[in-house]
Amino acid sequence: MKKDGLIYTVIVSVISAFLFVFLLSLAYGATKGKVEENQRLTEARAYLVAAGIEVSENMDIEVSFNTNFPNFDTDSAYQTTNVNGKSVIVSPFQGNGLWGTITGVIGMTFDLQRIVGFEIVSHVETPGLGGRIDEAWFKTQFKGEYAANGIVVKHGGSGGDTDPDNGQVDGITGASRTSDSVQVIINQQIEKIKSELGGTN
Amino acid sequence: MVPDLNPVVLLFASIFTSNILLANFLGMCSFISISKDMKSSNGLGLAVTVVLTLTAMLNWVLLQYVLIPLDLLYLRYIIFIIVIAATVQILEMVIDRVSPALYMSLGIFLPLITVNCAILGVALFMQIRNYSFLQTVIFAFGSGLGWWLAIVALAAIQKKLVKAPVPAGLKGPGITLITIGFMAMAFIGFSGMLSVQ
Amino acid sequence: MDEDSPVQILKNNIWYSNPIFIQILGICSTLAVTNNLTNTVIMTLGLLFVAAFTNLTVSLLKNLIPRKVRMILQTLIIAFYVIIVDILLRAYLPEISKALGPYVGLIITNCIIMGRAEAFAQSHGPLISAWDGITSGLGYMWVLMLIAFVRELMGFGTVFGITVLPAGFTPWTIMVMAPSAFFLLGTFIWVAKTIILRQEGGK
Repeated sequence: MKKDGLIYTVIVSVISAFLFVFLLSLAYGATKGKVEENQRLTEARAYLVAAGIEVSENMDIEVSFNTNFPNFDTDSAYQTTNVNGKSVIVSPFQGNGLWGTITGVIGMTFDLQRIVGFEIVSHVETPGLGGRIDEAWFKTQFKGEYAANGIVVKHGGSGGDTDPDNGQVDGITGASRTSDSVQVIINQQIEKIKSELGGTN
Repeated sequence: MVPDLNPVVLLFASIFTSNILLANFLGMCSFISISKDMKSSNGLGLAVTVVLTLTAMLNWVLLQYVLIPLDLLYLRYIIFIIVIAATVQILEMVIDRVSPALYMSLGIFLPLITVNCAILGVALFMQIRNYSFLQTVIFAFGSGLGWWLAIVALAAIQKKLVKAPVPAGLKGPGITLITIGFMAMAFIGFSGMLSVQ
Repeated sequence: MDEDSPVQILKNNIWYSNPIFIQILGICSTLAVTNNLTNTVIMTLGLLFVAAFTNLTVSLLKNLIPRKVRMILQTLIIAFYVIIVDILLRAYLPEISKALGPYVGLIITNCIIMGRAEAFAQSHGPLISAWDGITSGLGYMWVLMLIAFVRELMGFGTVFGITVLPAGFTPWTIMVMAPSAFFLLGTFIWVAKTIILRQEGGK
C-alpha cells in the first residue's frame, strides 16, 4: 500500500487514535477507584482538621472520622461533635476565589467565639500565589483565633499571625484578591452558622 | 458549581491583572519570535483573539455536552487540542477562499497558533474553574485581548531597543525577557483598581 | 566528535544548545510554577518523562506514520503521555496534583517536546531518541530549578518548604510574583550567553 495514499493515512490515523484512547481508558479505569478514595479521604480529613483533631501521617482517617462524626448528616449545613469534652460545630463552606470556587470546612466552638480549625478541600487559585491558601502555615493561623466579630485577612503581613486574640491572620503576599476572598467566605460562613443555630435553638 | 463572578471583574482580570502571558506565562514561544515587528504583532494578536474565543466556545460545548455526560473527562487534553488544530485549519481555508487580503494580514499567522499554549491554557482553565458559557466567552476574549495588548506593547519597545547599546550576551532573548518583566510589573499595578465583592 | 554520540547529545542538551537559553523553547508551561521548588521538580520530571517516551514512540513509529498527519499524530502521542502523567499524579500524589492544577495539561503545548520529536526522533533510532528526550528534559530541569531556587529562597526564605534564612529576613515580594521569573530568566540567559561567547572567542 502506498504510504502517502489516502486509505493508508486514514487507516493509520484511526488505528492509532483507537489504540491510544483504549490504553488511556485502561489506565483511567485502573486508577479511578484510587482517585475517588483520595477525594473521600481529603474531605474526611478536612472535617477532622476543622474539628481540631490532630491528623497524623499514618492514622486511619476513615476510622477516626466515623468515631468523631457518628451521626454525620449530609443534608445538614453543620455537624456537631465532641472533642476533648468540648462541643465543636463543623461546617462545610464554599465561595468564590479570584478564579473559581473555593471549598473547605471550618470548625467553631459552640459559643461561636473562636475558630477551632480550618481546612481547604479544593480551590483553583494560581499555583504558588493564591494557591498558597492551601499551605499549612496559612491554615493553622485560624486555629483558636477569636472570631466573634469576624476575621480579618491582613495584607502586607507574612509568615503567619501568631496572636490568637486579635481576630487577624496574615494574607498571602502577592495574592491580595484571594486573601480578600477567603476573608469574605469565612465571615459569611460564620454568619450562616449563627443564623442556622439561632433557628434551631 | 459555577462560580459566581462579576463579568466586568473577570474581563478586567483576564486582560490586565492576570494577563495570560505576563502573569501565567502562556503563549511565550510565538510571542518572543514574532514580537520584533509591529505589523506581524498586530496580525498575530488578532488571530490569537479570534481563535481563542472560537475554540473556547467549541470546547465548552463539547465539554458540557459530550465529555462530562459520558465520563470521558480524562480525554479532555486530546479533545481540546484536536478541536484547536481543526479550528485553525478550517479557519485558514475559509479565510483563504473568502478574502485574500484578510489572508495576508491574518491567515499567515494561523499555523503558528496551534502550538500556542495560551489557547489550550484557556480551555483548561475554563474547565478546571467550572465557568459557565458566558464566563468562558468573556474569559477567552479578555485573555486574547490581553495577549494582543502585550505583544503590541513589546513590539513597540523592541523597536526602540534596536538603537540601545545592549551588552553582547544580553542581546536578543535576554533583553526581551527583562523587558517583558518590566511590562509584567506595570500590569500588576492595575490590581489595585478592583476589589472582589 | 560524532554529533550523535550519547555524550555529545548530553553536552548539547545540557549546555551548548540548551532548550531554554539557546533555543528559548517551552518556557510557557513551567515558568508559572517556579516560585516553588517542589512544584518545579514535579513539572520538569513530568516533562522529562513525556519527552523521553514521546521521542521513543515517535522514533519507533516513524516509518508507519504518513507524512500528512504526522503533526497531529505526534500531538496525539504527546497528549497520551501527558494524560498518563496526569492520571498517575491524581492517583498517587493528590496533593501535588491539586497544587499544579491545569499546568500539568499544558506540558502538551510545551514546544520542546514537539521540537525534539520533529528535529531528532524523526531521523534517529528509538534508544538514542529516548536519550535525547531525557537529556533535553535534564537541560530544561536544571535551569528552571536554579530559577525556582532563587525565587523560593528570596521570596519565602525557604528551600523545598524548609526555612533556611534567619527569622529577621524580609522576604522579597517581587520574587513571588510573575515579573521576577522574567528578570531571572533574562539575567540567566545573559550570563550563559556571555560564557558561551567567551568560549567561542577563546577557540
